[in-house]
Amino acid sequence: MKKEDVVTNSKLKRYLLSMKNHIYSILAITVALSSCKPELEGELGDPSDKVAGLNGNWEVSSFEQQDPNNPIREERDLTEFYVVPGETPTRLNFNRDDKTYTVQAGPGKNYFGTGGTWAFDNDKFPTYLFLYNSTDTIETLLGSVVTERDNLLEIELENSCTDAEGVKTISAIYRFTFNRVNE
Amino acid sequence: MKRTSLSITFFLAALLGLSQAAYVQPSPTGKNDTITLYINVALTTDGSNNNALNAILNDHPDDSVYLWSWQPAEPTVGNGQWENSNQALKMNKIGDKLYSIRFKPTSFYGVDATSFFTKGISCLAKLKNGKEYEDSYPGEAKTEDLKINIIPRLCDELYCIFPEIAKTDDYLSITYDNNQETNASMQNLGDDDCYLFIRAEQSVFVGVNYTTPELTTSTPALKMRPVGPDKPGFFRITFIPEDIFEGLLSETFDFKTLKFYALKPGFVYTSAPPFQSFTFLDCD
Repeated sequence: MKKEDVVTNSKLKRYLLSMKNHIYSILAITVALSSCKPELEGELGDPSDKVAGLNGNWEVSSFEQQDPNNPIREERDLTEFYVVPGETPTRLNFNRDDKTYTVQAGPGKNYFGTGGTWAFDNDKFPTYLFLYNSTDTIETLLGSVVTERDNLLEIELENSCTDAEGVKTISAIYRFTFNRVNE
Repeated sequence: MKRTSLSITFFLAALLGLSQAAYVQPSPTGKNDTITLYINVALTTDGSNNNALNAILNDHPDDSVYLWSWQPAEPTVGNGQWENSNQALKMNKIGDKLYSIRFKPTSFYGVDATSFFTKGISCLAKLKNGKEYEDSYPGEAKTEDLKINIIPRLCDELYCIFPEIAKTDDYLSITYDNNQETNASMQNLGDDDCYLFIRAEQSVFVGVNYTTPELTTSTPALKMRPVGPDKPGFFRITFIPEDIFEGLLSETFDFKTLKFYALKPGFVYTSAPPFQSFTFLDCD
């Protein structure tokens, strides 16, 4: 080993020792500061209640139809069939207590029946909303989670059929957007 | 940007096709296209379905190869017997172990475009006698079962339907491109001049007109509206087929097909009108 190497090694050791001291100082200050932080008081509460979020009146504000068999899955905005000036759009009312829903049909094709009961696939982390009526079960995909603070509900329905050979084909996907109505 | 993405998608789809044992061109495919179906036997795998055609063609490269197909339906001419394929289904040899056959799917299979697009093509390639060289190879003189999914081409025809596959309770949009109209009497329509004659059919012989051709152009529900200033000459109408015919069809009527064509006020066809046809999904 050369003399220059010994000198360089010695400088490096001093530098590392100095850095070590700095790190200890920073840690000590951090601990001291965090110990001064006031403790949290009260409870954070339950995660947003999705069942309560759906509770209430919802009114159709837009409608799109998507063609799943088209190479670019083309979408068309057909809101004009559901939102007609001078007419009350279709309204859904969801009751959180008895899990019932009612439909006040407005213009446009009614895909929701007249009413019945409803359920999420998972009340804490819902992906699907099921509507059960006397003749049908309507499965809808939730566009986003709805809490009590949210005023927008997006749901998707598939229109499909199964042929004699058991092959299911989806002809169209309907995308409804509802606004919360506080009345 | 959308156009570029679309071009890339179609290019990749075409490229993907060429790397498969069976594919069609053109792809994406129009509902009225005549297609070429290719089978590259070199890319098939002997032994997966008691098949040995790849190995057989190594030793007998000049043997003729035939198409055997069962979906969307058996070809209208018939596949023939397994030991004696129909001569009409002989494929052209266009390269080493690469074979092709050209046909118009809807007439070749005797199905509508909806069935063709939803079911695709299931087929295999074989020698005329599927049991040829039976004792010399560990399998029959055929490829494994091959499946070709069909990608529908974006419509650019005189009439376009949205969605491309529909039930009678879907919102159905029919777009008419008057720029492609070949009948001189129907060309250069004004914004308020376009109407659609529609007819619900259960079969060729059983159908109900929404109204007569003469009254069509005074029926507001049948008026086609201009698509917009960015698409001059395009007209569109949107309705739910089973709803628009509500009250006109008996309860036993099985609404299978919608027939239609455009009209303008004061004009009716004196000869056979240019009926267009759209077949709904066959739901059980």
